[in-house]
Amino acid sequence: MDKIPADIGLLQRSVAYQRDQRAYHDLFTHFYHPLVRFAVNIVKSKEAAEEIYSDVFLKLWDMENALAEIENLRVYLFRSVKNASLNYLSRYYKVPSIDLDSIHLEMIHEVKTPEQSLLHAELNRKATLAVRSLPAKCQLVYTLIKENGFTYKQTAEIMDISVNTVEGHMTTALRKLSVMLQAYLPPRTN
Amino acid sequence: MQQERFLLLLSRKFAGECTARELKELEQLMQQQPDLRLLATQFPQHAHLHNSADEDEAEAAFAAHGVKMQLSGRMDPASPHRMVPEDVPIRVSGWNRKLGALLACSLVMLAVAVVYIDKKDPEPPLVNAEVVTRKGATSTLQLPDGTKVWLNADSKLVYPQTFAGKKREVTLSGEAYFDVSRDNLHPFIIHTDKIDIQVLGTAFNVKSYPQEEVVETALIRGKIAVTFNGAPEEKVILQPNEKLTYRKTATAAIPRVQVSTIQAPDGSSIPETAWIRHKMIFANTSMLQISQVLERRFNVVFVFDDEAVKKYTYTGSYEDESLEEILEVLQICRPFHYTKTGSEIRVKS
Repeated sequence: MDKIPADIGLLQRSVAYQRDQRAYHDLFTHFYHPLVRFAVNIVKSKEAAEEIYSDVFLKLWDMENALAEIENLRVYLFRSVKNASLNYLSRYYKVPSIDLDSIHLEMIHEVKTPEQSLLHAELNRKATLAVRSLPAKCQLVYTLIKENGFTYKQTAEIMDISVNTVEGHMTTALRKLSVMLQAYLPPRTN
Repeated sequence: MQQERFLLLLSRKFAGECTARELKELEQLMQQQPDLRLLATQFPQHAHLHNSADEDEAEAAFAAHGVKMQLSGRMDPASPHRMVPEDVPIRVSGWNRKLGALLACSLVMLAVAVVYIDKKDPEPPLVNAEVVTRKGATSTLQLPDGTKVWLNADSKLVYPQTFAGKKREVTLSGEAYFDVSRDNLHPFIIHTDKIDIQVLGTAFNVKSYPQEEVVETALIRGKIAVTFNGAPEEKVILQPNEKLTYRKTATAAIPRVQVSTIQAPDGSSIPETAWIRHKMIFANTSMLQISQVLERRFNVVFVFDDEAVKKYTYTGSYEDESLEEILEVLQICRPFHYTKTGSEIRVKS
């Protein structure tokens, strides 16, 4: 995101109409890190997240001309990765379908995310841990907005919920986090 | 009530949904309550800076994706565009499936060959690598198994260039922070002068300078077992946030081995690992111990003309300050005199 302010629409059309593999490569590498991180949030496995991302991109290639009609590719990809991740979980836990509300943290094994890097300040590390202890939907809404800079409307589209619900999840996330963060703040001086 | 309003406005701000009026309101709220402003800055920063390692990872993922595309026949062999960037040698041809199968076969053969050679020559010669830091310098390195090591000043780490056998063994003199790659089958063992530490995958600090009276190990996460040289049957298991202190000379008053909880005086960073971020944190630390830290940091030698000063204790944290600035602050807390000639600091009361 912070690199190549590439014209995504142009790349999209090159892949859609010219089957341009170089453009396809650029799209793949451009969206790779934010989306794999997002999938890891849900499936809690780096390998599975990479697999999901790769599958989503295979489908993108197969769309051919229809690819050019996607209005906001970034939103589309986040939404696809979210759905693919939920499908992965329902296969993994052998249940017909899975809702984010039913994911319990204890079902999920510990995973080392880049955020856990040791060079992070202790506080940031604790705060990141706090984010990961949020309920699944809260955590994803928070990540989409705070980490990926999506608006309420885009987040609503990705998560298949209403804008009001997005705002509700976001304020809940901030409320829970502020309780946890307050414990780490230096004591008041007055 | 105000807190709820604050959270709502902050949510909107993060999502870029605030109107000008709401931004103003948020600013006013934070002006009235500095606590809220402080809180607003505490939300984790997701500074995902792009670096070359990230790019390499994305490229590698695309190379793997490219093979998948070819094997599933999605690739157009006649296309003038190559599937992968120039330096990744994956050929485009109609033989893709067969090529893939062949490739897989040869990998298996290679694996067999390696195992075979390994069997034939069970003890390959061990070549040790050595990393030494001077006074005033620190170093970071990655061991062959992916373990990350931050080596503090005036320290030495000896490790094999490849980890062979059942254990991963290294030898440390000085201080280092380890983030050990998880590998339950191959325990990681750190040998020091006095104690040995065995780990399965964890992060912790070890301090074992020959000239210092105490050996310390502080565990940040995971689990480690400490054994003592000369008493292999004794074993202490450390839990996260615990620190083991071993005294080289035993006295009746203080036990040789003590386990205590790691204290974070300012609530954010802990003294034991502060040096990784080039920070020095002293919490009721004696002048003698402080002088040893400063000696390593600034490559100087302390000489005490007055034994009493060695026992003065200080609390404080330093980062970019010069030696002179640090000594000045210490002098304010509890006065002493010093003269500096070359790299020698002579301390009087």
